[in-house]
Amino acid sequence: METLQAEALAAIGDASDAAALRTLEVQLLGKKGTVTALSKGIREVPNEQKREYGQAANAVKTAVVTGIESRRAALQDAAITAELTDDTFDVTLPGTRTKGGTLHPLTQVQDRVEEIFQSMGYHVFDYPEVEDDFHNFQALNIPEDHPARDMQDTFWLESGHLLRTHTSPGQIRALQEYELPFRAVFPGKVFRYEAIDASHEHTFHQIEGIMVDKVVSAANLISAMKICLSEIFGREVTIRLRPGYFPFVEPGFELDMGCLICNGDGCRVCKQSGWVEFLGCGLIHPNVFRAAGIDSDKWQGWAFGMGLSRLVMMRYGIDDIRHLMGGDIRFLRQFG
Amino acid sequence: MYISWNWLNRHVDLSGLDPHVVGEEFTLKCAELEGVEEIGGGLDKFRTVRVEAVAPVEGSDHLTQVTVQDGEGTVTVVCGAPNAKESVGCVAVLAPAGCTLPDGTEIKQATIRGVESSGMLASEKELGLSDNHDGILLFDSAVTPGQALPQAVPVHDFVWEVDNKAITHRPDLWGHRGIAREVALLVGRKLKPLDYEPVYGSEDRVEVVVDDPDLCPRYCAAYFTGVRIESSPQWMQCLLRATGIRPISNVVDFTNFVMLDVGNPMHAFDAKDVSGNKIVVRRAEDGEIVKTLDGQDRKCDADTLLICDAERPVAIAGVMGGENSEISPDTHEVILEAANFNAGNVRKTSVRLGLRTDASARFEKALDPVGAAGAARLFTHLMESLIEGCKVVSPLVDVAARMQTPPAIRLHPDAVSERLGIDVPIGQIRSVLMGLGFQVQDRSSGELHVLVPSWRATRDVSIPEDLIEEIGRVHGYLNIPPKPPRVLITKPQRSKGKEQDRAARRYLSAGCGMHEVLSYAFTWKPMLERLGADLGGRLIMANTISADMDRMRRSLVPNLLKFAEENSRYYEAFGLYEVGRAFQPIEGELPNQNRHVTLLVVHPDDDTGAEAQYRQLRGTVDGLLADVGAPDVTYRRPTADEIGWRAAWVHPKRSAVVSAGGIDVGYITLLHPRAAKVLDDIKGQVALAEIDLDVLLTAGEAEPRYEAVPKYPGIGFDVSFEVTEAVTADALVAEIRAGLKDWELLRQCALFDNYHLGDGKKSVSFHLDFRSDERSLKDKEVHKRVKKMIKHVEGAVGASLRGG
Repeated sequence: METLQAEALAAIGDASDAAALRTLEVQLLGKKGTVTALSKGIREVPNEQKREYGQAANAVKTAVVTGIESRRAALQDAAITAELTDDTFDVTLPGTRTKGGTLHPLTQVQDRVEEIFQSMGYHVFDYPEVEDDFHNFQALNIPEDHPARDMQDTFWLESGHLLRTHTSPGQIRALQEYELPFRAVFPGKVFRYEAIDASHEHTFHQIEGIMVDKVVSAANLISAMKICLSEIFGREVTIRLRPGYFPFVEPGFELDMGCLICNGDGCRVCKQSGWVEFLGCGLIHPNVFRAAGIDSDKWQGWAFGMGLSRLVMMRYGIDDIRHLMGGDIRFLRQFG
Repeated sequence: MYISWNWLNRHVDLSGLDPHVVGEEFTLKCAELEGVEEIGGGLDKFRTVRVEAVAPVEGSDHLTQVTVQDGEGTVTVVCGAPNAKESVGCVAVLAPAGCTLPDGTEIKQATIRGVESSGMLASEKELGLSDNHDGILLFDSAVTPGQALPQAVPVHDFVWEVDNKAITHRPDLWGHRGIAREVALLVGRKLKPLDYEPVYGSEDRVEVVVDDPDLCPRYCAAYFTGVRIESSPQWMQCLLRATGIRPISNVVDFTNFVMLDVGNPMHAFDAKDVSGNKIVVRRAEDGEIVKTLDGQDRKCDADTLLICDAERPVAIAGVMGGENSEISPDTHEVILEAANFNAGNVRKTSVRLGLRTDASARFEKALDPVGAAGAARLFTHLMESLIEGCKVVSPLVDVAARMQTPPAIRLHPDAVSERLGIDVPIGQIRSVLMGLGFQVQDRSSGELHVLVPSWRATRDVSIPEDLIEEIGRVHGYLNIPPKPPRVLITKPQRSKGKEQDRAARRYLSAGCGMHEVLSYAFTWKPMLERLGADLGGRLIMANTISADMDRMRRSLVPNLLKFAEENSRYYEAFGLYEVGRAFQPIEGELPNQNRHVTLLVVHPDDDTGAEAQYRQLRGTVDGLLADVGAPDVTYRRPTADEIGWRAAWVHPKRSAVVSAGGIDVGYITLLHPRAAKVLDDIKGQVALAEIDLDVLLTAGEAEPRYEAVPKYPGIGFDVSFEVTEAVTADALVAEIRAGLKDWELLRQCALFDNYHLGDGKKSVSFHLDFRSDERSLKDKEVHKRVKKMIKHVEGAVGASLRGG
């Protein structure tokens, strides 16, 4: 028994790793293990010696179990020490990423712009893409045979309806639908009947916004535009307004933004002017209120519209607008 | 539109001012300039020369050697211009060897086919004066030879390009006089008064009958004798060239000059071609044909307004003159037309004929009828002062049936300050408006009574807001300091559609690794045709940029299939989806244009198997619908009618209708095998799903509910049945539940294996989970019920137990 214990403890001490120790543990303490056999041997022992034998066998077992446990702890410590001092682990290996999908860059920018306006108390609406002449033109103070219709070459349907040429029909729909006062934005696809190339698409995206209240001034509009553009671009922007013609606003403005590339010093992007034409806006024309059934003596408002596609292209430096409606994964996966 | 700085100077003294600086001011306060270009600058080395002799160059059929006198001696140059041959006696422009053209080309001494050439004779284009490169620039003998070009002819100018879109609403800005009025106010100088007032004759030489005064509010005519057709003076030719008009002959140039000066287009007829010296303004007969100046036959209808003589049409009103009465070298008497035509009608006519001219572009802006007489006055002045012996012998025949009184507007000064958000002193309001030609009277009420000048009264200015714009822009919008609006708190409006869109996209992009695409609202017709799909039931475009996109999409699938095919050149397996509208006609109303989410998965081309692909697709859609909050989602086999027009891509046997809350919201399908065969560039198998999100909104929202965390352990039980392939998973689940008599302690019954044994048999395995919230279940009670259940299922669907 003593020999067995001594040999066992020596073997335990020699076990060089966890696996060897586990094998040894089975050899000693498993069902058919030598130490287990020792305990089972009590059946062969005469009754008067059983007690003494049992105690001795138990002592051997305890010694072996303790030995294994302490050896295991020592091996674990050694392994930890070894891992902590091992310099061969290569941290420069590239990552293996779970296959991720992507949101369209336009969606990403649109979501962000919507969030900005929502956080300023604007509602976000979504309006039809196929519109009627009333909402797209007449109610917006663009009567039939008005030359302003040329500014927006139109896709017509055989049914007499049309594909909205701007998000502005939303102004009429929002004015008709919601209790005053309110402020809202409505993004979406718009359509122009024109040939496509790197900088022209017949299908692109805009976001339109209006605010209606009892008293609304050009100074308020300038302030609101400056705030929202600064939020969109994540930095303080400078803006300037100059006359612009949109039949549904009076007065109407073209809003230029100080060029973000050269900070107004003049560069290729701003054609050396320091300014980039960015959006159209103005105070809502009384005829628009009238068309929506609202008393223009009691209510005033402003409206603005800007190109989301253009914003996306500016933001990511995309030089060909056709990518946006192109469905090419080699393009899309860059925006993951 | 091009505006010449020299021309503006005829109306307002701009000496000492920089055309670029004034141009910037104009952009900021009136209308956008697209650019300011200097022309004819730096031409001091170019000289006017008299052409003395022209001789052919031996061995060339188009080159000539031209001997010119430059005032100091003769020089010979070789010239290839066709008009060089007849240039003897004319004055040309010599670019001597050693000088540089405006485009940077250096002129060198050269020997061409043995002839020494000491420079070149220049065209207008080479001099940077216009785009005309038909031949060399030739002047008549009125130009002195031997001078630097800019001394001899006023070619040096600055040209503003005005953005036409920015003046669509300003008929008065389509001529230099109108622009000059704005500029004068902006630079604080006086607009020069007009310095001509012709005296008309008294002979009864021309009669005017206007049949339709609504379409022709005013028609002025006058008769000129003693006309000699020659070239117009150099100063006028320079101004015309600078504004993009090619000088032709005096009379034609005068009509163009008048149009560009006062903005009212006009026309000159050769009197001998106007039968009966009678002008009749009438609507065309349906199908009546007029040959216009450009030699084209134009077919007219009853909405086309014609100018006719006693017998036949001589012009299409406001659009283009007729070939039959054109001014020609042997014109000796002229009838002038200075008229006003209905804007909408001119626009309609020019759109219908596809004929846009400088005249129609102006008339369709709604010109001031008063301006027609002004145009006649200017033309008469030019004819009499610039053509020796020319005389207006008739009175100004003026048929002005529809002249309107310009409106008066009551403007409260407070409204100006309120709308602009700045204090504008009343003196400033008055001076701006008066500077623009408005008459302003104070009223005791504190309001201003503002009379609109006729040139702003046609469409442009009619309400106080229009006046506020005038005051605001001249004050300068950039001088309005920003002022935050008053705080406004409104009830939030939840946009469920937006929330749905975002949830769907987040799930499919972030959760399923798919790529979001955007595609056209048009369907890609070649895809439908290749698939042999039903082309009907779609909105048809009345105009289209491509026959391939002549109708609206009814489903987003064909466009996604096109994208899938294109991407298959670079990727083997991928997922695409789009959230967008699909369109279905509704008679007499706007179409149904519900938002759809449509997804397409291309599986790797391996042995995944249709069943696994279908289950994956359904799992994806389960997750999608859960994330957008759909209630009670179920799937069932579609009928042929339900597949209907989608039959080209929906697999009749491997597809399902998706319902939520009892409402059908879409379908899932493996791609129809015939479609897959056509789209063989896509190597893997395609699975599709299309859900109508707007219909889904009507199905209500799932209410997420808390369920107590289990207190007692449950008992799990796996069971496998062998059944014929005809028995569906749904049927088995139903029988399992029935066999358990809908025991409420069955918490879950989940299929985990569907193994095909061959010979029309399969083994279907379920994991059953039993649990009570009140006590620990005993194995015995569960086993007893399961045993009964198995017996029931075996009897009901002919199953046999394989394990459990």
